[in-house]
Amino acid sequence: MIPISHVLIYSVILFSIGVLGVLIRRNALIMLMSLELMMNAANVNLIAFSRYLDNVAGQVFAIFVMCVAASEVAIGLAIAVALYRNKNSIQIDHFNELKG
Amino acid sequence: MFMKYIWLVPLFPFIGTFINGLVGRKRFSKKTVAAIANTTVALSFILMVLSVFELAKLPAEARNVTVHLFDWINVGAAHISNNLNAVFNVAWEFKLDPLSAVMGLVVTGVGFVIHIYSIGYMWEEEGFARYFAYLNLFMGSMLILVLGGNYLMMFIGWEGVGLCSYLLIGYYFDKKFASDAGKKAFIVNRVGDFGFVIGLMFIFVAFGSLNFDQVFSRVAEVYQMGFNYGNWHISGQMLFNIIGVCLFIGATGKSAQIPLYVWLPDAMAGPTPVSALIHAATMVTSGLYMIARSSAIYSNAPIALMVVGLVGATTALFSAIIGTAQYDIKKVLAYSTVSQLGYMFMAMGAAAYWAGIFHVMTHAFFKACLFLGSGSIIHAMHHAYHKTNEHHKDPQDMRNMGGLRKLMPTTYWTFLIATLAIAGIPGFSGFFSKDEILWKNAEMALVYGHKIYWFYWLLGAIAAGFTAFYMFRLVFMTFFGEFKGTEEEKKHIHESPKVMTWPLIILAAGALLGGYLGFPQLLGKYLGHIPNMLEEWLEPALRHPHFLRATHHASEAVEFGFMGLSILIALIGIGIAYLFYIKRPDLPEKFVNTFSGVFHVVHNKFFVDEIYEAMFVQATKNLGTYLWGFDVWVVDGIVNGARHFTIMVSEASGYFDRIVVDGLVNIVGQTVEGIGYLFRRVQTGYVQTYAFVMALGFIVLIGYYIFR
Repeated sequence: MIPISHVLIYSVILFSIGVLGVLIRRNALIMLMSLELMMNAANVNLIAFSRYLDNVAGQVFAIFVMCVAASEVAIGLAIAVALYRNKNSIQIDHFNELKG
Repeated sequence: MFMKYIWLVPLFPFIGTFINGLVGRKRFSKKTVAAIANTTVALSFILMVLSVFELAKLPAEARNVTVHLFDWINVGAAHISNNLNAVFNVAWEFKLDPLSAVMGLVVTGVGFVIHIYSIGYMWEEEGFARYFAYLNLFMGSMLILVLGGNYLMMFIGWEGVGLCSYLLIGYYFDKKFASDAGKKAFIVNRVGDFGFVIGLMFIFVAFGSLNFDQVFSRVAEVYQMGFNYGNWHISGQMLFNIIGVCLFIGATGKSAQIPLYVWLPDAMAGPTPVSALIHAATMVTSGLYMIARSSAIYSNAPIALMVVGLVGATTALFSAIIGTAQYDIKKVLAYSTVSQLGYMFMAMGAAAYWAGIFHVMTHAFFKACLFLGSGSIIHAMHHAYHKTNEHHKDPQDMRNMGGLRKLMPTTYWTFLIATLAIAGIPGFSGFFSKDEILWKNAEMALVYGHKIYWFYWLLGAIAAGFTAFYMFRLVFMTFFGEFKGTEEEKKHIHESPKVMTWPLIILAAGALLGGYLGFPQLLGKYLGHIPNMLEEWLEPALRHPHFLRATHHASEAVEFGFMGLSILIALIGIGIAYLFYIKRPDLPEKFVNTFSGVFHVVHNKFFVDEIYEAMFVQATKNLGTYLWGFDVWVVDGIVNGARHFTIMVSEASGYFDRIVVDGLVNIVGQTVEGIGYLFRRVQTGYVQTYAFVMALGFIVLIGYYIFR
């Protein structure tokens, strides 16, 4: 059986890749995808702990996260389409309207 | 019934002024203007004559009519001399008595003749209506002066004629010398008026009134009491002397006596009829009239009388001497006027007021005639020069004339009659009045024992000789000998038109016959009891001094002797003139060359004008310059200093405001801005940055939990 620590390290790597993707990439779609990675890293953690503790609640929670992620992608893509219509681009550095 | 309307006499000319002055120039033709101006004066003359006839019908002591029109100034009670509570109450009132009747007749009569003459003389002048408006204004003022019932009314007329003399002398206002002469007349008169006003104040303070009747009725009372104010006391006689001298200072201004005579010769810059009217017949006699009117005061003031006599006698001789060395025909007549006025004051000084008024009257006739005659000559000469285009020649210079006797016979004969009158030839009016004056002065010395009057008599007698000389010099130079101009000019010299010669004839008749109104009693006794009408007529209006006490009577032989002496002096004067200008025409030049220094001084009028210029005019100008300097440096300095000071203060205040106050405010702002600048950098607007910061925060937090 694979020890939980390996799974956790895997999850950390996956999460870090997601974080880096969000922080570094300029493409909004890639960023959304990186976001999915981060959520999936969390899901891996949830499932790993569920198995480790022998409690099914974690797996149920992972299902909920995936649902939320799906709906979030639907909203995220809708936002991406709206952004594209505004600026004819989805390169995120064209959108700095929050600047002080 | 005419006497009630005596106030219309001055009013008529004012109406003329009003009409001609307002609309005459634009609306009326010259004929209408002349008709209006002459009609108004004629109406005054007619009314004057009618009133005087009515006055003459009254008994002698009742010949004093006052017409009260309305109250004018009515100021509350004032506490003045002698514990007298007086009210300054002046009414607009007119007085007709023998004195104002004579003066009024002379003014309106001679004035009317001169008005007629003016039509011809001024016909081609610009400002015809303006001239007649001024002339009427002058007549009105003079009549107020003469007919006014109190001293203040007299003063109104007094100032009115002063103004009119300024306007008329400066009539040719586009010529500098004429406007200067106008100013000179006005300013010199103001100096005299100052004395007059002070005299009036003394009169009010001493008598408590300015009304003639009230003042003169209190003379005896005031003479007794003198002047008391608190502890201050002046004797009656002294008070009267002061008043007399003050009034006389006014008279020296108007009547052109030393030292204020300088304006009259310059006044010849005005049109010639003006010279005749103002400077021979009317305005200059107002000083005489005023003294005669105040005879009640002068008769109690021996020192004032002596001053009057001295100034009169000196002026008579002084200006007669100047008259001998003038070449301008009008200047000769001007100095002659000053000299004759001196005679009149000599008469006043000897308390022979009636003789002075007598000379005023005869002088009005013969001097007006002389002036108008000279105007006729100037008119002709001017005309001749105009026709021959000789514009540079002076039509008033006697050296350009000569031989006019045959060219202008009417002018010549009338002029000769007037000259004989002024020279004092028996039978002509001037003889009677001038001889009377000289005799009255001699009488003062001889009969009343005032020795100083011998001196006055001597001055007067010498002046009479000079008068005869310079007047005949004038006649010989202008009318006799050969015409000094070119033949071409001679052709153009004509007798003046009828409108100018008739006045000459009328005035010459006056000069010839006027003297018989005051026929000397001495001669009258021997020549079929001819009465001295003028003296009798004036008697009630004039007061005679009580301080004169006869030491003895002068015999008739003495009086005849003096009369003979004055005839002799006149004949000597004429004889010298004849010798110089007819018999030996080379003599005057020799005389001038031999005594060039003396001649130079006399010809330049003893440099009196220059002395005045240096003493008063220049001093006044210097004072003006100093005051101007004070104004510029001190007053303006203070004002400008205040300005500079204010500017400086406000600049300092401005700096403080900008640097300190604004500086503090800006420092606060900049500090906040600088801090904000620091933190603004964080706000890139990129979501990624925010996320990065958040992640960094997590890492730090995690690091903190790991490594604590």
